[in-house]
Amino acid sequence: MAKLDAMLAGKRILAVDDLVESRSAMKKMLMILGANNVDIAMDGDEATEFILNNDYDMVISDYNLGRGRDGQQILEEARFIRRLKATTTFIMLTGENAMDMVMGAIEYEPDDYVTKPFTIDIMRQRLTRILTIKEQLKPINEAIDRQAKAEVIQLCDEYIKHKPRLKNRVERIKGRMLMSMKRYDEALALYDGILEDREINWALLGKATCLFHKEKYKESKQLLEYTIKEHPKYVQCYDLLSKIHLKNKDLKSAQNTLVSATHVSPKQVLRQMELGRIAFANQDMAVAEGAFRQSVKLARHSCYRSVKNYLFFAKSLQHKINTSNNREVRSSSGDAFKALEEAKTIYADTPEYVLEATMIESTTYTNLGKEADALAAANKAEKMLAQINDPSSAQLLAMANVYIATKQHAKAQDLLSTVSKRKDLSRSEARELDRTKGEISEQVVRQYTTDINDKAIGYFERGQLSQAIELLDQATSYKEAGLAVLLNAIQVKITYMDQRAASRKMLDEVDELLRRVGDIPPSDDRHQRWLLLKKSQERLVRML
Amino acid sequence: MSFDINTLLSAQLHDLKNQMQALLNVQSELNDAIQMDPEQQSLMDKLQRHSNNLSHRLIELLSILKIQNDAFKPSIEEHWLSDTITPLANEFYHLHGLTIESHFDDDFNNFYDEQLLGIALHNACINSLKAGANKVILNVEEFANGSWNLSVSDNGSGFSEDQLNDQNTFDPQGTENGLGLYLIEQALKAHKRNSQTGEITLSNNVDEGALLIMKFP
Repeated sequence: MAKLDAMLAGKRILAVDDLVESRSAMKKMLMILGANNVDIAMDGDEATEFILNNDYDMVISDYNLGRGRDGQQILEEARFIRRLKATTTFIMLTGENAMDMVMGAIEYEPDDYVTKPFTIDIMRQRLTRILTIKEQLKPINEAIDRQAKAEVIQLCDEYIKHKPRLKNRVERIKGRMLMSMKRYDEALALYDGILEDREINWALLGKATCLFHKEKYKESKQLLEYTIKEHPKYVQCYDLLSKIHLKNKDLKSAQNTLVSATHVSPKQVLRQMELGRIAFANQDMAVAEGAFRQSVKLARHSCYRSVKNYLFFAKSLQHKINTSNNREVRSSSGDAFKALEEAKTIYADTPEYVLEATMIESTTYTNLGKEADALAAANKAEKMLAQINDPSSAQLLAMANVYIATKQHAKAQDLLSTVSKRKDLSRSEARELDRTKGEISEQVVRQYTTDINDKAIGYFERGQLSQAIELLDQATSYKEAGLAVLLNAIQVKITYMDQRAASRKMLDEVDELLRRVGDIPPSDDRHQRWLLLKKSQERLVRML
Repeated sequence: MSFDINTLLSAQLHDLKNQMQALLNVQSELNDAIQMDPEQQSLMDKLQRHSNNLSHRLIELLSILKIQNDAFKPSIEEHWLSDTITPLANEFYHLHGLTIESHFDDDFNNFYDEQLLGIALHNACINSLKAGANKVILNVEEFANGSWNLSVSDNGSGFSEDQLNDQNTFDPQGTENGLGLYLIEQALKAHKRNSQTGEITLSNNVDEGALLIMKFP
């Protein structure tokens, strides 16, 4: 084997440990062994930051990094965003056996594990081996980094033939590559061959994955259930099992499977996001809330940060928000507003996201019974929507719901009629359209306009004409406004002009209202009143 | 809510392992700092001997806890045998004057639980030391079906008559003696492959010393 100091010299290395003594000891140990370019990070956030900004040849990380993300998550994220090349070595330090740890996806496994406690002698031996193997596998890893997949397969076949000691590792790479090329039959044959000889966990998962892609869901499910029984911490099996449940349209089982996975590994962001989405679809808001809360927290400083986490978290909290001013409501609404504010700040440059956050803000105020705040937020959202070029049907439907919640039924109806004309509605959007339409029945609108009308009469009788006009304008903005409401609106405006001065604008408004009233036949009790109002309008026109 | 005793013990042991790692780190620094001073080096060696023993005992305790627990699943991964043995050989030579010779290919690798094999070998070497041996030879035999044997042969006094039976298998005799062999056997039994299970055989060499064979499925 090559000398370790020669292999380490010149390599850019990142060492990650949350304990300050261990960090400095690890750096010192690496320097004694021949390294001369070592950075140290204290947690997952700092490690990710370092990895984003530097090209490392080797990362050596403790698995357990305290409260934040663990070493496995650092590895997964770094490989996910392609900041760690296949030629980069990743070594996990662990106080556990490898199998006691949560096993990641096949494509996100470290090059090796070193079990604690270790002496410098053990570390020397282990690093020498790991780096020697890495060097031997360099041509394959370079081909992986170049995305030369056919070449990877060809090299793997050569290695399996000529380097039997590396067979296991190379077969693992080959299986992964065959799957990424969608050559599932070949991958399946490879995994079957491996499993015939020895039951290896990654080969079990690999086989189950191939069966899944070949749509053999029942066989894949059976194999996964067996693998989970044998290797309860192999959480990737739960993820795939959940996908099978989704394929079978069994959302509840999909959710339960992911809940089990999060008990084993609560810090994996993508899984929490998926759980949140499924639980939200299941209307299991308690689970959705927990999952999105974790997603927001864990993804805050990671490559998985997404506006959806914030928005869905705020949405999933709504089931706890109501008009009673107790601690739970205050805490939930506080969390919702905080998440929405954070989303608006982070995604300030994306108007669509700010619009959605503002609409949820309005809903939150509505649920709290704060009508004025809800209306103010709705108005803000309305302005934002107007600025968006060709808003989506989903955005229009969401805004319509906000209008309804803030009792702006006429506006809701206008939006819904716009959406109804669209030809490209998805099935769920069409369902949402029908549901929302149902929310604004004619009767609801008429009752609402009648309520406003009653309030306006109060103002009118007290001589507060401006306030009465404002309310009646609101009431008559609904096409469902009844005859009595229209006549009252005309009367208030004429009285106003009699007392002050006639204006062209107001007379036009009266004219429009009379047009909507149409002809009232003599048999109708209101005929006489209608005639008087018409005459008054003509008089005011002549005076102008 | 109360935790079961295994959970509590396991949590404490994991914490102890971290403490042990910190101790080993400091010791390593101290070792560097006092190099070339024979008097202090002798004290350092003693400290190292005790802490290494403590470290092994700790890992052993954790493994015993696991072996005794029905839910335990060993971590049978691919390892390079010389990587597992070299630090152990260095330690036994440095601290106990016992030479461990590996008579197998440096590139030999196979599937085993490294921690359990470490415990088995550590106990085997301690037994050899107790039997007055100053040399242990390790040999590997590979079979076409993927199984393999690791034989541990020493130049000590060999197994006593009451430790050996006709089948060359281990026979636990009370709790006074044989804990080391019991642990070695348990470590091997934890290795399973398809329907096969690991085992050990005991015998004496023709000329001198004991021969322990660990059979991995």
